[in-house]
Amino acid sequence: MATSNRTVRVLVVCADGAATSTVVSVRLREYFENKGLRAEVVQGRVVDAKTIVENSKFDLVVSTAGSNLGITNVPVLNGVPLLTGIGKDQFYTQLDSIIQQS
Amino acid sequence: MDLKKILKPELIFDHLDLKSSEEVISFLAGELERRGLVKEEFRTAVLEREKVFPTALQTGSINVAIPHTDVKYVNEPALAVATLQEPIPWRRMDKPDDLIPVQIVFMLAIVDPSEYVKFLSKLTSMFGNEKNLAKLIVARSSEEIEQFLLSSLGSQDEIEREV
Repeated sequence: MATSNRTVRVLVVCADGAATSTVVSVRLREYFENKGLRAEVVQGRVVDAKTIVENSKFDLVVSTAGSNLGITNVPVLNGVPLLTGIGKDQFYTQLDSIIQQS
Repeated sequence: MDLKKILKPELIFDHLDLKSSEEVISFLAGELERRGLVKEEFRTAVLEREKVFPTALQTGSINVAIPHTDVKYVNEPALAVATLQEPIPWRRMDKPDDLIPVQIVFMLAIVDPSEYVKFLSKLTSMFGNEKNLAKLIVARSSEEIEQFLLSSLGSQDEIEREV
């Protein structure tokens, strides 16, 4: 795959950048590892998300605290399916398509 | 993370007859505070955080909420659990403008997220299975809920091993 020789950069945010984003980050890292993709998963707070993606290049943002982060130049995915497992297949389908396009 | 250490029957409440998310949060935070597990400001901090970043998770016909707040308000890792007599409208974590009926509440007192993550991961995975949630809301005692959580979240040893 064309994407395998580069590093996918994901910003994972939740309200305090501690609880739910930690769970989501662990699951994403496992997913990338299983796919054999190099990835950098960075954790942060929702309120900082816009500034973080403006100052550094990310392929996507995953948020557990709503998708309305004021970010327009990077795709934002709802990370709650990775918490509960409900709708996670759909989440990974979207994730794969974003990675392939970027 | 020692599951047995944070899961205590005295912090598990079944069929609470409360009418709002604020009442549930105040009650559970009060129980945590009374035991010295969280600081005095914890209750207000959770309530304030919930206004901006609500914590209900849409899990099917039985929904759950996981109110929590910044680690600085917590003394010891803990968990307070409540099932509710009647579902209470609670705002969704991923769609804060949407209210959904919540019937099970897990109040998280987190000190070190990296230590808590395995537990939280197992807990949230359990939400994906509606049968588990159905069993929780029919349980009639704290001990019954405790036993069910211990068995479905895996033994203490298992969690220790995975950390």
